[in-house]
Amino acid sequence: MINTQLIPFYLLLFTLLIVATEKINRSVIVGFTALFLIVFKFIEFEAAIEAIDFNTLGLLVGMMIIVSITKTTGIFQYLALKTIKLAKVRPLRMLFFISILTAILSAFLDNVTTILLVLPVIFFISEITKINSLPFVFSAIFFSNIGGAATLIGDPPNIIIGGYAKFDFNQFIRYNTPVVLIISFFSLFLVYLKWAKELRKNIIKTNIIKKLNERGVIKDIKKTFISIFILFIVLIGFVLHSVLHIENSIVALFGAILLLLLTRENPEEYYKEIEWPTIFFFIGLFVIIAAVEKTGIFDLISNYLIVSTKKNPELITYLVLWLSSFLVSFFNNIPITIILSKIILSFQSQGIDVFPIWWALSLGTCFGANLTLIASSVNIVGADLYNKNLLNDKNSIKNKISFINFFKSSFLITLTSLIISNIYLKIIFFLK
Amino acid sequence: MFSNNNKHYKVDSIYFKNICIGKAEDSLEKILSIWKKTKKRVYVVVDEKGKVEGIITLYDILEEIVPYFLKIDKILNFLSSNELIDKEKFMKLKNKKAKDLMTKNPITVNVNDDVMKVITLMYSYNFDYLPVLDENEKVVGIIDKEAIEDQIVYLINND
Repeated sequence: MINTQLIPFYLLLFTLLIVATEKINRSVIVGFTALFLIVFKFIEFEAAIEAIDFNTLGLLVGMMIIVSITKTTGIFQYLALKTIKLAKVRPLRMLFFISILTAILSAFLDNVTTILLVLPVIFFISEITKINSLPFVFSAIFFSNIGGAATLIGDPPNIIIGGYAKFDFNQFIRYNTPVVLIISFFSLFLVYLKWAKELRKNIIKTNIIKKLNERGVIKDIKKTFISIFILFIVLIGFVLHSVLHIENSIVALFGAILLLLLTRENPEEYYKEIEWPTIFFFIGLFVIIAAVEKTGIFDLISNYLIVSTKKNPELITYLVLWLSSFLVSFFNNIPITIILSKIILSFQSQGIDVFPIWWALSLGTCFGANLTLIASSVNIVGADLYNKNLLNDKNSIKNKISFINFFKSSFLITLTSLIISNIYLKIIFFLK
Repeated sequence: MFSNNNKHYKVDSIYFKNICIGKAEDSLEKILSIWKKTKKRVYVVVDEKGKVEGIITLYDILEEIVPYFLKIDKILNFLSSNELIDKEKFMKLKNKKAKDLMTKNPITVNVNDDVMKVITLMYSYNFDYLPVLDENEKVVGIIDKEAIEDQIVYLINND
């Protein structure tokens, strides 16, 4: 017999499965389920509106506008070309530099934006030097996911966790950035082990890189300076959160509006750049998950976990780390983070110290994104662009990035990241 | 008055009958040599029954030559240089078939359509060429920007 009270929960599972198959646009299926739940009174209209976290949405929209304007200035392409030039036509060094740049960019930009900025430069280099772009594409994908974990604004799971746990920008710098640095170091080593042999074989003959005038990408110096200035101001606003008590969404939106005001750009062009599917996906999920929360199932799951771990916070922390990374490998990271956040809030209401568990969730969801091809949009977009580039060159298509060969390259890096995260959590929270 | 002369403004009074027509298996080399001879820049691909399968313009060939990174990041346009001319790529391009290059199932117009429909289509989709079909859906010609220019000159001068 189906328990009718649990219908929202079943619908959530069903919706997540549809999202995982990508047969229907995720914002549409989530919107459908959310509206279904409202129409059939599984959640009251007022409760549904209340469930939508406008701070998260405002932060996302604000950052999307700022980044979409800044990216038209060419400043990020400038940085990528400058980095390539610094590597002085040494392929292995180039791989390291590109990886580090990707990690830094993705700590401040959306991960997909980062990959869309870095990959064309990689394809350019590969086109003129004939180096195989595969190691570069893989590293860019991995480091985009790793770098995103470093800050509050680097990855949507962190924005969600920041909202539920009330963590500010500085706390992410304090707790996540150190472990991201350590993991980056180990990952660079793994990348080296995997591709050093192949890349050493490549000798770059062309001198076009040396002659490259990277300033050419910047067309409008004034707009570039204004954009960097605003980005800087917004970061300062995040850092001073605990002093100023201004919500992150307000800081981001204020930055976005100020940027539009100062550059006098046509706002319509940039409003279009806002990823509305992502925004609607968030809105729908907030509603669905609020309806599920009402059924009490999250309390049930958290009770079960508390009992089965004998109320041991350390064990729960590790469990959340590994479980969340496993779940995001097959389902979308945004709903998984919201659901697990609700379960963590339920732990909290039962008197468990959840502080370390939040960080476990953040590390688990961010690093789990590297495990499979479908674990994050970055992987899908990166692999898609790489495969299309292969097609365009009419090279052999046997080198295509597939689910299996992605996993072969990602497994060790993801496992290493999670083991290091586990040790890190142990050392900073549970070692007396 | 315009309204009295409506019959003059039909596709059949302005389209060009002299066009380059070929089959899906034709090579790019063949297409380019035909263009060179006829001074035309459009190639209509038809099946055995004379029905349109696709259309090739110079843009479709540029599309094959331009490196992929420029298609996904226009800011990098300034990086274009002769170093990107790759002998191997052009060798492969030479043997490309019409079917690899053509825009499949292009929008077409009928000989009985109004000229205004052609003008609207060209404006809305930024087309340079529109294949013209007869009542049996067979290709009989093409309308290009020149034909439209001539028609506009005619309309301006004959009110």
